[in-house]
Amino acid sequence: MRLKKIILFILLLTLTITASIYVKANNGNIYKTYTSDASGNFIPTQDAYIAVKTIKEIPLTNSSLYTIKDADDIYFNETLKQFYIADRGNHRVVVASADFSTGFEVGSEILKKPQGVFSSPDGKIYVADYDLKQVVIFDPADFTTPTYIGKPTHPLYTESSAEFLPLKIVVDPVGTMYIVDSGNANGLVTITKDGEFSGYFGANYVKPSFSFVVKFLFATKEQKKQMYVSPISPTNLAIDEEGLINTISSIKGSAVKRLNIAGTNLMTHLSWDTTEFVDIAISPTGTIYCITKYGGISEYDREGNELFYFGGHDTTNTWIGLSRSPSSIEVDDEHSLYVLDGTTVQVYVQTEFASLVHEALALYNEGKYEESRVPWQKVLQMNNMFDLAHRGLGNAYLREMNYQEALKEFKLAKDTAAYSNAYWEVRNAWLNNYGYGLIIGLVALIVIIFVLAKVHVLDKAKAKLVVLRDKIYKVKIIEEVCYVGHFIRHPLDGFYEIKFHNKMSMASATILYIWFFILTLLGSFFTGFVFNTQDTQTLTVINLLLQSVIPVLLFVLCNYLISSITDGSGRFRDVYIGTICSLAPVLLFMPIVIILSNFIVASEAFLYTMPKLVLWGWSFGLLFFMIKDIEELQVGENIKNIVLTVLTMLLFIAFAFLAYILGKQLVTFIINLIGEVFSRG
Amino acid sequence: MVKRWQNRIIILVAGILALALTTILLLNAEGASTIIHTTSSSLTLDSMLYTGVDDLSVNPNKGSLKEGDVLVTTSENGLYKLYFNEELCIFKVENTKTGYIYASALDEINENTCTEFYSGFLSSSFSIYYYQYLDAIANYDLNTVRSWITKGTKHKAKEKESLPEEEKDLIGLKIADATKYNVANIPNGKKVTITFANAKELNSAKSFSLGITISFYVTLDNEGLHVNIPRNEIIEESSKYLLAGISVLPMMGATYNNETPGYMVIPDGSGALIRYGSMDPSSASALGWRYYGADKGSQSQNLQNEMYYINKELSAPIFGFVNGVNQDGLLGILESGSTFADLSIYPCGTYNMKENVMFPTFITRQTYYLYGINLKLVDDLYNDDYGMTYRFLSNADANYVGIANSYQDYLVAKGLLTRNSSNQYKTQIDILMSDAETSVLGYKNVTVTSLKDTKKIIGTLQNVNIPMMVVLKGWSNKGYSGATPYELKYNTKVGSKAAFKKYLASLKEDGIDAYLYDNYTIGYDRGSVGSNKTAISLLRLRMSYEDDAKELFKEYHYLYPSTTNSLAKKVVKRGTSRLGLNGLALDSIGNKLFSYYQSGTMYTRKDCLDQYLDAVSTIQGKYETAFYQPNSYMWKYTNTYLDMDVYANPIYVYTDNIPLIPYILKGYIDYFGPYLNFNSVGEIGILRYLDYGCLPSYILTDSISHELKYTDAVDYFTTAFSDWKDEIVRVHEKYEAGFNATLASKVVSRIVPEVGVSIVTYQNLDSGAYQTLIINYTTAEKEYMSVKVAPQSYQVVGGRYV
Repeated sequence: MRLKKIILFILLLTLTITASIYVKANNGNIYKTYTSDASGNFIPTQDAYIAVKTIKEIPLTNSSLYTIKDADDIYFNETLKQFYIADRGNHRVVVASADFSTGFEVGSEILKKPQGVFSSPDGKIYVADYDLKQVVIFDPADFTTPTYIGKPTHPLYTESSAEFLPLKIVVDPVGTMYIVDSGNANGLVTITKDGEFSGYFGANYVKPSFSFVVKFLFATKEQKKQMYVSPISPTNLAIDEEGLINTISSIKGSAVKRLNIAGTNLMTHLSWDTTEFVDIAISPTGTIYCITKYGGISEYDREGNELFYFGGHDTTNTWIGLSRSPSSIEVDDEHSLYVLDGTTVQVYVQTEFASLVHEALALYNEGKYEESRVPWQKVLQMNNMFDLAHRGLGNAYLREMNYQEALKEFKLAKDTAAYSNAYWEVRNAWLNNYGYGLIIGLVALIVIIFVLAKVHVLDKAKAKLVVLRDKIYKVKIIEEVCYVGHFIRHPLDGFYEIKFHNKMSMASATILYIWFFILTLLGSFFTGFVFNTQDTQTLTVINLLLQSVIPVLLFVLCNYLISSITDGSGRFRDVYIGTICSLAPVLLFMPIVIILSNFIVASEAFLYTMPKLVLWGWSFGLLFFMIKDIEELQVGENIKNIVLTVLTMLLFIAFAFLAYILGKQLVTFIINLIGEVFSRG
Repeated sequence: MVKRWQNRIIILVAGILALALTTILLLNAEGASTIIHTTSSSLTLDSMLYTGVDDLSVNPNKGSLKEGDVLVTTSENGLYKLYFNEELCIFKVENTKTGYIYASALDEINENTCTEFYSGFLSSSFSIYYYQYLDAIANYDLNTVRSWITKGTKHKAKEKESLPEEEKDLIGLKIADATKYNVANIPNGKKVTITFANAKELNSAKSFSLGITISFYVTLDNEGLHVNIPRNEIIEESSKYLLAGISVLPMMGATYNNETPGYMVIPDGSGALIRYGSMDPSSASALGWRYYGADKGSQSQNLQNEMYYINKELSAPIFGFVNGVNQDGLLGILESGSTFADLSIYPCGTYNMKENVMFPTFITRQTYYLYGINLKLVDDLYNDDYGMTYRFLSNADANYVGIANSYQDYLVAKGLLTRNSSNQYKTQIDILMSDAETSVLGYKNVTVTSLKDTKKIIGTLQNVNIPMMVVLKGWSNKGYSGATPYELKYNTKVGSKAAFKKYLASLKEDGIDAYLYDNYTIGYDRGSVGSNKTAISLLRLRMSYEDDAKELFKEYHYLYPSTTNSLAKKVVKRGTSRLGLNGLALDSIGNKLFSYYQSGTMYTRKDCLDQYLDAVSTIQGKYETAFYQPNSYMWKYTNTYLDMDVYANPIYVYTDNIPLIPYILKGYIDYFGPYLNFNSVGEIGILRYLDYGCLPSYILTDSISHELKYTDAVDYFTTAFSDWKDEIVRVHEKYEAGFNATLASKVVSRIVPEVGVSIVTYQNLDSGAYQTLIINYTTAEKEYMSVKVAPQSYQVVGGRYV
């Protein structure tokens, strides 16, 4: 997958200076920008952010020059238009103007190791000081006499944590502080504005893996004790416009969380994440920025869809836009990004494209779907493969009752749920218009046929058809193939006939196997969009064979082998023919289900899944009896036979996998060897 | 029986219904609205991505002559004087027009700030790098060792007492021990022959000769200063010490301690500046570039990353200094040996240096890892002479535009640049016709623009009078991606051979140059040449690389230059009959150079270049040629320049982006910028094209780009003509007057009076008339030359801006 490679690449990056043969237009960036499509793959997109500046120095009002070094956190106060930098190296907080042209220091004699900084709209500065083991609050009226908040004395805290080691801090509009307390696995420490500990918030949970559960079940008491693990604590946090706390933790799958007041995670789906995030920032429009320790910047919308991924790693500090070891990211009210990277602040400015996406998203989030239509359309003009825009546009059309357009957009966005909603509307309209007519027509047709049959008008035609059928049936192979129709009504007789009367030949069974393959192919391409889980673009013949006849043939082979070494009396041909005949329900009726899937919506899924389940259940039932009859086994023996068959199949698969891996390496080796010999000759 | 009939009929009816519904779902089409650009940030305009405002103050440091500097010669026109200090082997050139004195090396060093690099390297006009054979490891020490000819000695305490106050802290310089050093007079200059010693250790008495002798011919004429190093006068006596590289005149143009208003000019991408004093010396860092990009033929093969980052190259072998804007300037040109040369840049503060230094190094012998494992040395020295020319600029010419013009004059005089420019501006329209995506059985064709659609698109643009040149991509039978070099067969799903030929002929009649896109340098397995044509690098490994950014066709190969050449010969022979070819747009050949190994012989980048020049000259004899980002050696053969860089690499030490390469070509070759489809910064992105004299280009398809989602052209995510038509027309209408003013003209000056405003004056090469473009990137109205310029717009004014 592309994504993995990109991440790997960022880790391995050495800036080899060579030009790409695929250089496209660029807007002055060293990096390319990616977005995540509906399937979770990273695909290229328009540049979203331009890295414009690297700030290394800030002149301070005390006429000294602050050369940025060992800074840990940066915060932007929207109201005061000021930046706050936790300057760990110089034991102070530097307050800088919005353009970093001037600044002043706070707490230089007071702070020891400030690692987190926050500022409230009224100008109060909250500092998480690790070495002081306190949160220090500076009032703008007098920066020299701050308020200190030390280790909470509440038993709930003292019982669970030995030391108070504040790392990062945010404060909600009410004045409650949310503090990342180093090593405290209980979650964020919350302290009210009066300095009272008010409990833990937003703890992560340990999700035991399957192997862990198995180990745990078989572990001794002592071992179990050692197996208890603490949950991973959040490593950084940010507060959004609605006052919701967002955290990041090194947990794959839920690295970013948006917590409501009850501490419940509202961000249940992330299209991509990593355990390498070090900081999080939230823009005024609610988009979420996370930066990895290797300088990769991810922007998500509020629902966790990856909008953009850009930036990268540069150990040499040479390139604008790449970071060496970033510690903090911040966003201002114009969506400009500021990345604190050891000795620099890198500044990124959003492009017109990103601005359009933000505008559309803001409208979309407010539920103004119709208003978001135009910006989404513009986004699509600049990137026709931006799935989120197709979805947004689809929703706008849906709201405008332009269902046909909505369907088209949802299909491009691969959004089955929304597609289903739009399709329901389309179908509803159609049924309203033609439904009665259709029903009347169908009823009339049935009545006519019934009447005609009653008055024997059709007898002649029918007789002709019977003659024709008999003629066709004279071709043996056709008759044999059509035997499957008879078989399904009389399965038990069928097995007998197959075994003893050769009602079906190997050739005709093979035709049925081919039909089974074709059916799988049809299923992949013609199942209704709402139910089609296949990505037809990535389907190959091998893929389809693996999904259809190969497992069945493997079953035939294994069953034959097992039966022949046990008490079975079936020949190979019997198992071969019998197995495919057992699948008769699927072979005969699945096309109907496939067609039907095109006319139902997600809420009626049972109309699709139920028949499918019935057909397969029916087939498996037949399979069971097939083996029993063909091999002439008792029920108990038969069950044993099937279990052994399945185990043998698993063994075969494992062996094939091993052979594939080894064989592939051998073939590559030989090809390379020959290649080298020839090319050097 | 009746029941069965009923069932069948119901299924049939249901089937028909399904068909009808699907048809309804598929029948949908609606036009789209225009692309509107709105914002730009002042943060962007103020950044290194744009050009800043010049500091026009007077430069107080104009250099000086010292005791021992003797006049060697004066140029015929009396403009320049060459001085030579034989004791220290330092050359100085005086520009009599301005009084500025350029020195080839430092003749005065302060011992308080003295480092080895400082006292040895910077005080030597000539220095070398060499490899040393070590008995202990029975191999060469491949960490190159430096040797310079001057050595500095600190004064002893007693000596200091007797020295005058101002000389107490100065280091005594002299030619290093064991260095053999001869000077001979030659017409207009001096010949300096040096046998280098291991003068590495400062104050060391252990000097011994390396046995490496090099002759430097330093001459002065009306053009400027020349340094020539003939290959046949480079002698390596001992196999113990082998020459690795030669650095010449490191201090030529260098300035001291950020006291000078001005900048260094680097031909990186479109061009970049490092303004003196722009950064605190403590945060300065050195930069090194290989001219024309790295040599892939000698690099280890771990190069999969190149597709993720967009790097730019130094496409012309030049560098420049402006010491006092509109006062003094210097252009350094690597006349020969540029395929093996590096440019080193040391802004003030690097290695605690007090100077801003930039100089070239000729690499004479390379290292490589045999089979990727054993570090080896190329046996023979590169068989090429090395030569530098320094041109001096005075007054109004002393700025980056002057540097561009000076290089242009040089190229024109040498016949390396000829006028190919048209008088009518054109828009480059690339049509992506077809590509491939996976199917159940292998690959299937994806046609996004049939020939018929192409006619429709071009016809529509012709109807609104947009002058064009056209490049067809994905015309061949296997589509666009992963199939170069293409077979000479049209994709019949796009159009028939006859139809293609007829259409190309009709375009020619209409005066529209049409090019077919191809790549004879980089090939794929599906391409028309076999894998036995994949070049072998010096490492003795096949030059095959993986492009992980691609989904379908990842592995690509560098082809032997001889194969590239024979492909060119083949197309010249058969292109007309098979394709009805009029023009070829060739990728990679213009900007790739690599060493390689073929039939038991090692070939250099110069050999590669010779093959390529032979190939393109053959093609140019018959067809119109368009190259993608061609390096300077290709310009002679270039009818049209495609994909011109409009940015430099975003490097922290750079302070400005400038249109250096574009202005060198202005008036001689028409150049088009990268596709505007991927301009995500809006109007300022288009204004930049006008500022750089770069003509607009687009890539178009008839289908929506989403059709390309599963092809390797997935990065062409916005190409639909329906999306771009109105924008193309808008840009044409808005910018036509501006672009036309830039044609058949050269740039006389480009002035940035304030952040976000560029004023570019052109002079027509035929009539000599001046026209000035005032380009306003900002969101506020501006007024210059008594003309009001609307926000994010421009004005053309007759006359010259001063």
